[in-house]
Amino acid sequence: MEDKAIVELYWQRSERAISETAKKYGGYCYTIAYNVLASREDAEESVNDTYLAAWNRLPPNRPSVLGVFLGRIARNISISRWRSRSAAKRGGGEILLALEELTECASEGQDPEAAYLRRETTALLNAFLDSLAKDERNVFLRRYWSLDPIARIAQDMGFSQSKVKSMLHRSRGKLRAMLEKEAYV
Amino acid sequence: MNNQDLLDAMSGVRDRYIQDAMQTKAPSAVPGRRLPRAVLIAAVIALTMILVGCVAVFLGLQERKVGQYTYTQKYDDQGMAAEPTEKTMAVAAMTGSQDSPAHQAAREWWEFTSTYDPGELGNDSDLADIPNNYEYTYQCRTPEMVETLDSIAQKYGLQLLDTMVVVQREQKDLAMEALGVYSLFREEAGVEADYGAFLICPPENFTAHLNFSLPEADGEFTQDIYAEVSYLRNDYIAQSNSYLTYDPENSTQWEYTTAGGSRVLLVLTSNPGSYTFEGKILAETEEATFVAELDLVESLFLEEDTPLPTQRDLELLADCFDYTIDPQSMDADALAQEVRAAEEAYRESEEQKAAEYAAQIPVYADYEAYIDANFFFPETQYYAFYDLDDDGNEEVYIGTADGVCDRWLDLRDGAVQSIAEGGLRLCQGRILEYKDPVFENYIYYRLTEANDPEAFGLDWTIQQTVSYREGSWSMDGSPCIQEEAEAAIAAYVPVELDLRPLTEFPMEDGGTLGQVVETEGTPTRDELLTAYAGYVSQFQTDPPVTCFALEDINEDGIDDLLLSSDGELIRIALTYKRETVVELIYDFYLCQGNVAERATRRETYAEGITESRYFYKLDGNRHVCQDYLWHSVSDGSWRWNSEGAVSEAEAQAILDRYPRTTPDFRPIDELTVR
Repeated sequence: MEDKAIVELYWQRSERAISETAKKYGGYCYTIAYNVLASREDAEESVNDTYLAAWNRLPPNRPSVLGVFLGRIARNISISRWRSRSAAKRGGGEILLALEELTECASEGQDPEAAYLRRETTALLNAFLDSLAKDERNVFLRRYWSLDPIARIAQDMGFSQSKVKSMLHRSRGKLRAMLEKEAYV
Repeated sequence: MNNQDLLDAMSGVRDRYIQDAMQTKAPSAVPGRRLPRAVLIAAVIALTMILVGCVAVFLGLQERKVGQYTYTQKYDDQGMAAEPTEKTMAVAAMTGSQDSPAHQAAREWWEFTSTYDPGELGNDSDLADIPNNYEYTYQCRTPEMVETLDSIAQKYGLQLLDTMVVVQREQKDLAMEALGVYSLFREEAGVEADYGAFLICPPENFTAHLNFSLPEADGEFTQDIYAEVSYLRNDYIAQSNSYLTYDPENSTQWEYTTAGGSRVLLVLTSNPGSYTFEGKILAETEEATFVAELDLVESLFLEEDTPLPTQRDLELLADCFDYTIDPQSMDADALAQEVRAAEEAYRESEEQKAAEYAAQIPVYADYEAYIDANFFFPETQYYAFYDLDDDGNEEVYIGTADGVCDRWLDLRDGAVQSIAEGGLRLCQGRILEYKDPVFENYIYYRLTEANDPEAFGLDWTIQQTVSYREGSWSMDGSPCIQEEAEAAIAAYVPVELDLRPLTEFPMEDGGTLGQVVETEGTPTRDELLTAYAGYVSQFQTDPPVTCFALEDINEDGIDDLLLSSDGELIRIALTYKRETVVELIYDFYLCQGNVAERATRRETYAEGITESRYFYKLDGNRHVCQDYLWHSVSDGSWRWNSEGAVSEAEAQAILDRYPRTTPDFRPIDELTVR
């Protein structure tokens, strides 16, 4: 079913909106959730929460790209769920590795102005992504937005794993330089 | 800023970039269903018995084993932190059996690469002194790796494959054409397959990614199964992705003769604790090895109602594949060139489609044009002006007479845009209140602050929720007392808008929208039927529509078109207003008094089988809920609106208010202008 028709079902408050969403985007949302949580049970819960969040947000909103809208919700809900586990029980899959990699670009500890900086950083991240070649950008977002394993990115995009690692390493270096220039780290 | 802030900030990156990145994903498996604990325990017991019974069978995968690796598992099977444990995974070569040259070469190459450190060079790509086939097909990073590979090939009399060519799913036809392989399944199996990317290593080796499903007795198909299928020539050193890893503790294997007469080795890995279910199928001829790796994350129910994939399930899947495929020899350079050209053509066609799509989206430079083109029932609507987004300019409200909006319009970048839609009441402080039409369920939205990562790139974000279900109130998901909930709701004071009938909306020529509508007049019968027939000719649904009826279900004096596939459930109702066919409502049964009943039946582990019914009247194309009933088939209980439990007799009395009627359906091919 076309995205437009699915959104229309949400607008009509038809429960079929959920089943059509699950049919079309269930696997996609689940992959994102599982990448973060590394637990099928928790990932399923996150996907269900994603549908509920979409139900509560459509209306009043009408997203321009339904897939991206749902992916964003699934990602945020999963990261929140991961954080809400007690520190000792967090576990987690790719998120731990991704965070470790991102440490290269960030400073240690919690910044008191984090919320403000986060808004500013999103703008900076978009500028940074503008500066990357398409393949590099796709690899970067597959790793740090979708939190896909490096092996999976390499397989899907036809690169060797070392090439993916190398691209990510270069991208992180560029990001670090940009953040330093703007005095964020 | 720390790494977590950076991860959070990533939420707000541009939609377009995320879309691009997500399009690089190969098809992924359908997620597994959670199984109840009792089933899991039963399955573990059954699995133990299977493993005990299998000790004496043919140990084919062990013969292919080239080594193993260990890793420290820091989390348990549920992803929770646990005492670090050393786990061992076995590695097997796909090609050749124990003493064959292909197997020995694979073992030697694996032993070398698993202990070799390419050093700094390991992070570079497209290395100048490494030929492409060594780099991309075998992942050689240094001249020493190239030399070692050459010496292994020479030692065992094997050849090296050419450079790997990646063919994306959009160009899969080209891959199949080049291989001369158009299906990986036996025709008799009746399998439906959706092929994804192909990794081709000329002359003939390849790996295909795909989803497939099997026909069932009732004519339906099973859920999709994700597979990676490889074809590997035995006289070549196989590409770097030709090693299988498996969990020896949770795997069982056996030989099987398929329905097509091929002898295959089957491996079922089943670990219910971590919901890991994988199948591997290996078939070998003198020339080549055929390997299918299957993701069996969910129970297949192929033969009987078993809770987990069984050996018989894997045998039934093995029956479907065609092990006699014979790819034709390909030239790597020519194939790569064709793929590049096809990708370029695809990119151009996508850009053209995007441009054509963008060109089709109408742009309205002023409110008059937008309202004239988008509102078909102005006689049921009102408008008002109000600065909703606090930018110093007034936006336009379109909605009901009691201040519940259908849409808020704003003029941004020279074009009218809808900035909020659907059943929202404006409250002071520029808060929009959404009240569920049935339940005491309130959601309050505030304007999103710039770059708010929780906003999902949208104009409005949730500020607070208040709800009442079956005697309990909650706020933002936490229980609260009634007084707190009522105080929270009362704090949102509705704004009194200066509402006027939409028919009085001033148009550019000095007239009103009502006058424009008047000049359009009422459609004649022929105009109506012509418009409906035109719509039906484009309308596609599964199952297809077989019959239609004409009834005025929104009671506006114009016969509406009802389309059905089975003469009972109405798939869609349409009307013809302002020279346009307008969709009214989907998937409903018609009840007396022009009430539309939406009925949903679902089955969940938590609640068993449940049914819910909504009853709507139509006001123009607006749905006004009259009643809602929920019924648990499992325990026989009923609930009504937000009141909670009602007796069966009470529920029946509510149902009796809405007896279903059957419209005067006629065959769809009779929908013509007489």
